[in-house]
Parts: sequence; structure tokens; C-alpha cells
Amino acid sequence: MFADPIEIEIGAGLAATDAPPAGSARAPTTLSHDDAARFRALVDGQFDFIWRFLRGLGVSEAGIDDAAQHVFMVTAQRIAHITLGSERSFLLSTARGVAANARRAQARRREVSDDDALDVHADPSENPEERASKMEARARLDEFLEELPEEMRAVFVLFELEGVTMAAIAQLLAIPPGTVASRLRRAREAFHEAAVLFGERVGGAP
Amino acid sequence: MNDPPRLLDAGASAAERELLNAWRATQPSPQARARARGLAGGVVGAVGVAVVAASASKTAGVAGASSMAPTVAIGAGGLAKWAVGAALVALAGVGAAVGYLEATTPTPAPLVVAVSPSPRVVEATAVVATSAPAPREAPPPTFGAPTPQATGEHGSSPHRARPAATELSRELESLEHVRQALATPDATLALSRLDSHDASFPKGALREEASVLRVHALFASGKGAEGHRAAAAFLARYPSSPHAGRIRALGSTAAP
Repeated sequence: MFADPIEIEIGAGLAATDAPPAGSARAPTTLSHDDAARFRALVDGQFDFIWRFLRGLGVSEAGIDDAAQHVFMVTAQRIAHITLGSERSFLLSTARGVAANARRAQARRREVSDDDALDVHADPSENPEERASKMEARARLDEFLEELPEEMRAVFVLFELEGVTMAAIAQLLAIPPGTVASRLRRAREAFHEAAVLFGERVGGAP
Repeated sequence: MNDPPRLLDAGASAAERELLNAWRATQPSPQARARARGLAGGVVGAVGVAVVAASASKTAGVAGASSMAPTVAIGAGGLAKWAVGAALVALAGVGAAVGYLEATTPTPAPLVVAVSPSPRVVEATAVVATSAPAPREAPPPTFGAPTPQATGEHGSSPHRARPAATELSRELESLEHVRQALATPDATLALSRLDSHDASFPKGALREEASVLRVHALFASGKGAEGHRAAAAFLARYPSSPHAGRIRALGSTAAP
């Protein structure tokens, strides 16, 4: 079994556009104190955001922590090559590649997603019905995101769920502003349909 | 570009609102954050590990890989030596994570005294570890109960520490001691500490990292067959682990 290729090689998820040259990851690098400090600042400032973004891109609860680690391991490898000011763009680009790998691995393992809604943190003040209702909503949101094409999913997650501006999204994803707007519009249409179905299922108003 | 209002701010139906609000509780666990912070502390090792994984899987460049870190003095054989050394440095990040947990734990008296007083110091120690193995006479840690240092000077109110962070701190510290033992010429010391670690933290949050250390310790102590079994068990249990590539690379180069 050891002859098998590495399933998710570090950096292999960087199919996305603005990654530095692949060869740069091969050379052993000792980070300077400045780079190490810069990397720690990225972890402190962006880890939660990237973790949620990965989740929004469909990485399962079972794989989300590993996927987040992958993103930051790749970032550590390449920190010296990341242009100042474009760190977040690099993280998002890497996250999209890692998420794509993770989703393919999930599909191979045919994971059931029963536990995927479990990362809704328990609120002690909630009664069991409220909690069940939240978990149901979360599961349906996951389902909607899962069915959304990847390019629309990224825009929807960033704009509606993470509150990133459209101009920033255009910059982060390296796409024209008009494309952001059109993807968001189509994603919203799909979301509206999903919400109607959800409303009918739980018996509330659409 | 003028942004339209977010759906939650205007125009969302009740069902849409319920779906969107479900996202708000989505947060990583403290353990996930701590792991990433540990990676930051051991970032030198993270780079090295990635290089080992890539090199071992893509090329037969053992000599080249070994020459990248000629001072590593443990392990058994070219790339395996380098890989073990790189892993040690990577896992040194746990020390930094201990510091981080203490810094972020909202109490004045964390239960555990960090292995080193600050992430920066731990990081420096990690680099040194590749060229100068830790002395064997380092006192073995005691786990499962707070040490006098841990509760002495600052220990007036250890129970006010957040339980999760405190437990993770102890677990991280325990692994740091394993890592230190792996840096000595006698890897069996690391195995012995791993046994203690497993007994102290049977359901620990860092079982995956402990398993990685065990694989390395087995290979480094010449127990190749056991090492391969442990590696296979690791890959079966954690197929998508960030450490899987390294474990495979090590298994492919270590003697049976």
C-alpha cells in the first residue's frame, strides 16, 4: 500500500489560478522570523473565515479540520512567495483547490452526511425542538450549497454568508465584477427555490 | 460597484432567513484553531514535511533529500533520517500551540506551564532540535495530574481555566515531551512516553498526531515491521490526514 501515490499531496489542490509556481514548494525553506510572524498573523486572522469557506464549499464535517490544515500547510510552504496584500486571495484560491480534492475524496468514500449538520454549536438555552429545527435548516442549507455549481457557490458563500463585498469578491476570485453580479443573481434564484421547498417541508411560510 | 443589500438585511422570506441564520453557528472548534496555531509555531517543519512527502513520492532523490538536512542524527537510513527530523520539527509546533492556548484562555492561571515560555522560544528550540538532539536526561513528564509547577506559583485558581483548553494544553505538552524524546538517540524512550500519553489521553483531541509520532518512533527504533503495521493502521483510520503523505513516504523508504 505504500507504493500508492499520495492521495492529497500538499499543494496538489492548487489548480486555481493565482498560485505561485509549483516548483517553489519543492525547495526546503526555513522561514524568516518575519515570514513566520506573517504566517501566524494569517492563521489568527483568517482561520475561522477559511474554515467556514471550506465548509460552505461542501467539505464534510468529517474532513473539514484536515482540509483547513491543508490550506494553511500550503500557505506555510509558499508564504515567502505570496505578495503582500494578496494573502486572502491566496488562501481562498488554495481553499477552493483543497475543497475540490476533499469533495472528490468524499464522493469516493460515499460518505453519508448525517453528521454534517452537527457543527451547529449547541446553545444551552435552546430546547431540543429548537435545536432540531436549526439542524434541519443547516442540513438543508448544506444540501442547497452542495447542489449549487462551484463558481456560484463561492460567490454566494462569500457575499451572503460571510458578508464580503462584491468588489472584494471580484478581486479575491480574480473575476470581473459583472461576473460576480451575475453569479450572485443566479445563486439567489436557486436559493429562493430551495427556501420555498424548505418552507413547505417544515410547514412554515415560504 | 454598488452592492445589493444582503438577503438577511432586506427581502428574505421567513424560510430564507431561517436557512441563512443556520450558517451563523458554523464555527471551527478551539482544537482546530489550536492545531493551526501549532502549525504556525512549527512552520519550519511543515515546510520540511511537505518537501519530504513530495520528494519521496516523486523521485528517488534520497541523496539530495538527505543533503538538505545533514545534521539530523536520528532514524535509520538516508531519507528516513531526514523525514523523521522534519517530522520532529513539525510536531514541535505543539509547543507553540500550548503557548497559544494559554494566551487565549481567559483565565489568569492556566493549568499547564508551557514547555517554553513563548511561541517564539519554542520555535527556536524546534530549529535547534534538528541539529542538537535533546539531552536524554531530560526528566520524563508526568501526565494525568497537574505538576507542582503548573499549580504552584500561578495555581491559585486552576479550575477557572476552560476545561477544553486546559485538557488540550496538557495533551500538547505531553506530545511535546514525546517529540523531545524522539530527538534523542534512543527512540524507545519516545515509545515509552507515547504509551503513557495514550493511557493519559485515550480520547484525546490529538490522537492523530500521537499516531504519527508512534509511526516515526517505531521506525526510528528499528522496529520496522511494527512501524509498517502502525503506518497501515494510521492510513486506514485517517486516509485524508495531512500527515498521510508523510506516513506513506516514510513507509516506502523504511526497512521492513
